[in-house]
Amino acid sequence: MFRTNLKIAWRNLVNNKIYSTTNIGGLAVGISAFIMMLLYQTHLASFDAWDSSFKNVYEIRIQEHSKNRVNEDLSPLLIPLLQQKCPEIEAATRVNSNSSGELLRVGDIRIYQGDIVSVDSTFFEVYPLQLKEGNRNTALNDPHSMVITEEVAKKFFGNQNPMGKAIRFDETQDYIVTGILAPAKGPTNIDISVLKRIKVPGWAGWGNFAYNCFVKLKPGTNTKLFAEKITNIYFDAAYDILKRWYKWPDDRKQYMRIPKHDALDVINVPALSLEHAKMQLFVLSLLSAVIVVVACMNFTNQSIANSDSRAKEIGIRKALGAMRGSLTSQFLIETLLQCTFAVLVSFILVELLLPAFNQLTWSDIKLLKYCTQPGFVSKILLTLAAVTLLAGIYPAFYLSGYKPVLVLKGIFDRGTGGMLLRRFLLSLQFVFSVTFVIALVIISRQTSFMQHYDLGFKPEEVTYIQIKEDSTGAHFDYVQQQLLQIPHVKKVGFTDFAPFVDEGGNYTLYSYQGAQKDLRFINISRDFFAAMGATIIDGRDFSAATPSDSTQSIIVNEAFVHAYNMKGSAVGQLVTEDFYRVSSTSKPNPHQYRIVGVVKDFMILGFEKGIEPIIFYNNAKSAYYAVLKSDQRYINETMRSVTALWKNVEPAHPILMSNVKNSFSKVIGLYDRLQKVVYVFAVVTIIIALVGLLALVAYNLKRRMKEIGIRKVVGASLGDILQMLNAEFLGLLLVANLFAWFIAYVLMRSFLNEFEYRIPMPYFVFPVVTICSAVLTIVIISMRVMKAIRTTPAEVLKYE
Amino acid sequence: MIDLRQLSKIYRTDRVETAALTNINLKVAAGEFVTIMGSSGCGKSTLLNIIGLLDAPAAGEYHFNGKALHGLSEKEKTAFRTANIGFIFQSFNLIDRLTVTENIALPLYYAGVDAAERKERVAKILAQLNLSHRAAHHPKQLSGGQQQRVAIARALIGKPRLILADEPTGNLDSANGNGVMEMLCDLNDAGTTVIMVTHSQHDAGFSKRIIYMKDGQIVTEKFNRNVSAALV
Repeated sequence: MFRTNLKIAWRNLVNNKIYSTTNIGGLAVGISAFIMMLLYQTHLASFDAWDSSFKNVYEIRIQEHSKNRVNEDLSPLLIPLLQQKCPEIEAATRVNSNSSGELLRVGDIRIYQGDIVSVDSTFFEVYPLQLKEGNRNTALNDPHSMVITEEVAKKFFGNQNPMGKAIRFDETQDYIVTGILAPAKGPTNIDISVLKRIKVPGWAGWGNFAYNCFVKLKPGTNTKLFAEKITNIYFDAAYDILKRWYKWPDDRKQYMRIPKHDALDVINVPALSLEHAKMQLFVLSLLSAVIVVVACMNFTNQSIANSDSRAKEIGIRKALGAMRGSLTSQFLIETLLQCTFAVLVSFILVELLLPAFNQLTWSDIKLLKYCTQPGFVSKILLTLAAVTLLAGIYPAFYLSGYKPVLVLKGIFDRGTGGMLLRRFLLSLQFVFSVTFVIALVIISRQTSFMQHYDLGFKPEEVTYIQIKEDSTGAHFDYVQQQLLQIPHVKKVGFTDFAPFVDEGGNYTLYSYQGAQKDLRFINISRDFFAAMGATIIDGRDFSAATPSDSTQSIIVNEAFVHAYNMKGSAVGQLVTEDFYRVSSTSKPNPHQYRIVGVVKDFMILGFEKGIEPIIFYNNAKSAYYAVLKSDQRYINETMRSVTALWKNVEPAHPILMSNVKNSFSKVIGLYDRLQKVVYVFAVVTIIIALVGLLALVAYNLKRRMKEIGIRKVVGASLGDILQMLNAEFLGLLLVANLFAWFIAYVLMRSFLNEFEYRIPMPYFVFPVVTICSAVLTIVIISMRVMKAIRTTPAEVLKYE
Repeated sequence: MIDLRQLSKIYRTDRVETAALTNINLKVAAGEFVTIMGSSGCGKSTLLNIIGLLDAPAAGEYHFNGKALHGLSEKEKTAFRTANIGFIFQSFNLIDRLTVTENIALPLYYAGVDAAERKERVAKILAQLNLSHRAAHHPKQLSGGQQQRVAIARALIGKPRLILADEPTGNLDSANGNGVMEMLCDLNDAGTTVIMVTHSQHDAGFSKRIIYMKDGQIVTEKFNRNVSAALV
């Protein structure tokens, strides 16, 4: 029987090619979205889940309610303190990752190595990573010991045994290889190429937030009580410092009574990835669930709309003795066949879409890898079963419920069940597609706006060279002179902040006329502004002729003048630095500076952040970058000369330079990608909505064929009929559009609000998209309806 | 009034051609009451559909009061039908989701009659057919006889010159059936031309002229001299 059913199902598929293709295609799109979400979730759940000891490993973080964020970067003093006071802690380690790279050297081999992770000696007690060579318990005991991956070992030592050999860090300190890291059994939250001992600077205190803290707790520890306990310990030690930064009340007890005060919290490491992507996962799950349900509903509508073609078969089968149950299972098998095809098609779609998805989510998901995992396969089979039932159960009951007497007489009409639900789901599809299209247009406009924005300088003329050696900053005059001798290099300056690359920055507290503010400061040399192409609009640049500039003068930007609402010229005004700048300990505190110049605002932070008030110090010694302005027409030969020259400036460090234009493109690139993803979503939702529209129109036509015939007989023209059927769907579409307007407006407002530099909300996009969607809907409906009712009224009525 | 000349209709499926009507010649004068009879598949309903402009002939001519209708476009046919012809079907063909009033008013709506006049004319015809108390009901709430009366009201609302009835009593019991036939007679007496298709000898007895069809052709014709005798 099963084989016969399968055979019939197959014949039906082949006989109705268009119907089968839209059905399978619609389902495949829905299932693809679901599989993608499943892959992502499985991928995230696999992080640090490959060893049972992870269940006791937690990361400590601060819930910063005041700033509405979670901060994993903590003070280096926290872990040693907690180890003293909390017997629950079995082991703990601080982790400080440097993903951008440091210069490592062995003999002549010099490489900027990324993923260098600094940890405490207890790291392996917390993290169950294994060593291929060396002893886990002692490998990091020596402050100058390091553990490397095989890959790094190969780079520096080839086929030689690296154990016991030295690698020079940053041309300053040798570290001895004491272990080779075995590849982890699964993905981990910490990317490691090199593990070395952490070195906390002596000046680092409670106000220094830069270290991830991991603890391994004794089994059975109540994490909630533990979190409360460590919060108390933390505030006991750090409150007096923190309250100055955060402007908390003097009395700690008073602060703790605030319902949502900042507090420490622990999170299980295996859940870390899921937790980080919680919002993403929620949105993805919701979207994919809706897409699957909608695809199933479209499938159901199509099946019902096409049921006449099957009605006679059912009537005959029933008259010949088929039971309802056997017919139901026959139709379910047909659905199963189509769903199986849809799953196969969706695997192809997923494989095609994964690269883009991986790029967006910074992950590395491979479909093939998961296809061999029993857990994933069983989830897919479960999905197949669920989709088959969801899409097929109603048509199966509907079709098998035909009364043979009526059907054989040619009477098919079966009432209007579920019409409200159908309409609701179609409206939902309209809402999605219209929202995505509006979002797409607005994101594209914003991206284009950024691409063509005037930054206040010409990024393609500005090149940054990383300064790797401390002595370089001290020799600014010499380096500047040397660089300026290269033809086409016009200006040279130093700075400790690279625009569009560096994200953080240095802040401290300043007062002007009694008003205290937490402001960004940047260390620069004289001529920095000229090298950037920024203009000084009041006063002067720092000058070699005024030695006191390096101790008593500052330059501020326009935003600073506005922030303090300064009347008249800011030049000559005194600003007090209330708090030590972290790295400079030699100055008396507080210290007063005189403003000698005001620079025109220029963008250094990207479009999200506005122009902050900035204080510029004349302090070339602290610089991390040399800034060059050069004639871009000769950029290649200029850079060749600069590279050659730099070998004399920093002989130990190969030059690392980048054009600001490139960094700027990377900033924009993120939104370029977002635009592409939204584009894909817009196309997908439009396809699904159109399939849904076609299905519901077909269903509706079937239901109302008799009525249409009667109306034609009593005088309705084709136009009248089109108008009637279109009106019904246009009503839905307009309501859906209103919802979509609202959702798109809220989403896009918050999207645009991310940018300090943004286009005004382009309101015209909303009605334009609505009109386009209405026209498309009318065309689709009219084509389908005309195809169905172009026949003579007599034929339409014969339907009855 | 109606003049059909050499009218033919052929149904085509993939490979088979079936002649539904062959060389039909028929004249119907204004004020006549004509019944078309014949076995199933003889072409009587097809003929009625062509007369009602619901279907198009494959060949031949169709003149209505001297006007040639066989070459009209779909749009012109619709307009002509709305102005001149009323239909009554065996299965009533009422629209379930519209009320009695709305069903009856439909032809006026498509003819572009304004709302006030529609209301007035529907009210009048409802009163004539004793249906006023059912005005706001939906078809499914009515008996078969009432539904057919509503269908007749809809056929009459446009004041057609020609009524086409396709087995108008087929779904009714004999009492209701007789009521419908009497209404058709009254209409005919008032001057409306009626053409009816039926299987029922009894119903045919109400008409003045009976046409017998077989295999798509008219085979004989019979005139009832004394119509009232048939009522006995």
